[in-house]
Amino acid sequence: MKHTESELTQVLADRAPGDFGAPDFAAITRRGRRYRRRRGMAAALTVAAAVTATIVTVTSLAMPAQNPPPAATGHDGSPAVAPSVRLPETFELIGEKLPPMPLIRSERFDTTGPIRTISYTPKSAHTGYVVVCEDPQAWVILRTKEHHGIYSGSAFRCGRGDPRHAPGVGPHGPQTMEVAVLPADAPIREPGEIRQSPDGDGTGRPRTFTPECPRNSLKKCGGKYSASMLLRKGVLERVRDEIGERPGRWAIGIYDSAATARSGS
Amino acid sequence: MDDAFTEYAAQHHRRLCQMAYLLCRDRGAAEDLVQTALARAWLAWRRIEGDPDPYVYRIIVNTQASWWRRRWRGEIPTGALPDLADQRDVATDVSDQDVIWTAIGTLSSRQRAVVVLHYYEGLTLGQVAEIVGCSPGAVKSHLSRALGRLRVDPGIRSEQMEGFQR
Repeated sequence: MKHTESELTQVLADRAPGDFGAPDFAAITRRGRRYRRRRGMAAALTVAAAVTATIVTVTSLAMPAQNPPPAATGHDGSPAVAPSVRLPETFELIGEKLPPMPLIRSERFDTTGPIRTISYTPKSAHTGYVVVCEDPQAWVILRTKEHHGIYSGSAFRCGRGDPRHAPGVGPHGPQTMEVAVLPADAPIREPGEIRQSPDGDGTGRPRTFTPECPRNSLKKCGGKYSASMLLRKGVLERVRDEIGERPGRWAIGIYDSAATARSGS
Repeated sequence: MDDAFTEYAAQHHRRLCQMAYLLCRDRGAAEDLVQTALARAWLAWRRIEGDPDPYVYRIIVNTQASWWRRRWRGEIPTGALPDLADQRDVATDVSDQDVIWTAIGTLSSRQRAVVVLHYYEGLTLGQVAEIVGCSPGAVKSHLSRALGRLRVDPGIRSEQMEGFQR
């Protein structure tokens, strides 16, 4: 052993005090029991968490297909998502010189009928949303509550045209909108052309009709609710009650240009 | 309480406290450390096979390391001022020990554990490795760094220089 090491051994031996008392067995067992209780509680919590996770998994697997619960919020692109309701990963604002906006939030649902409330907090002045449905003919009614209970919004066929919209809200705190997806056969009138009545009815007022549906029969063959009617207070709720809840998967994605800036930096 | 455990605790308590004191350098904390280690060992007593020493040492070392990470190690109230007059002329040997003891205090928790287990408890590097939970090579490395640090400690160096001059 080297000189320094022997000195080290000597210092340690000299410095260790020799007058420690006898062990307090009562205190040792008390402390031991406390550790055991803590360990038991931790184990119980772990088991409870595992059981809860198992129950959730089993329940979701055993749930009948016609009445599944709304799927959990998640990012798009997971293998479990059916291709028909797969949200695009980015959203490009038409007419805007902005890079494609990444998806910041998405929600998925397995039934049509209920009115869903979607909340999100925009991080920039440029946000957008996309609604995709299993049935591309399903109706999407999107509304936002304005002052005095008045709604603004729109109704469109899920797969028709470009269902992407840019609400143009800035970073003004949390935003909430209500979205209802209704089955394709919901009594909603197709937005038709506005034309002057071809044969004239004496009033000279424009009349709405579609080529498939002759005038004055719109309510019968095109549905009794127009898009503008659906934005009136209580109308959408009435339609929902008439139709009820039906199976039909759909998803909504929120896109934000601030995420582009972050991911690009 | 198990008779074997009672016997072990009664026989080894003093030695365990001394070892714990060399790790944490505080009497109260050392007794607390040993009580914690014995309480945990008591819970696992029936599962311990063979010599319980490595198991108890491991608890002490790990608990001390976690306390060392958690506890405040800044100002320590003391009755003795650190600026003491140089007493080397009257008690050179004691001063040498002070310097080494102070230098050991500057080692990291892991290095100090390796030094105490190897030089105080007289354990082999393999036994130290088993207690500390790393390979014998890592223990050798810790030990080598600890000794290197002690060698370059300013207090020890000045002591050595004075020794040469004397």
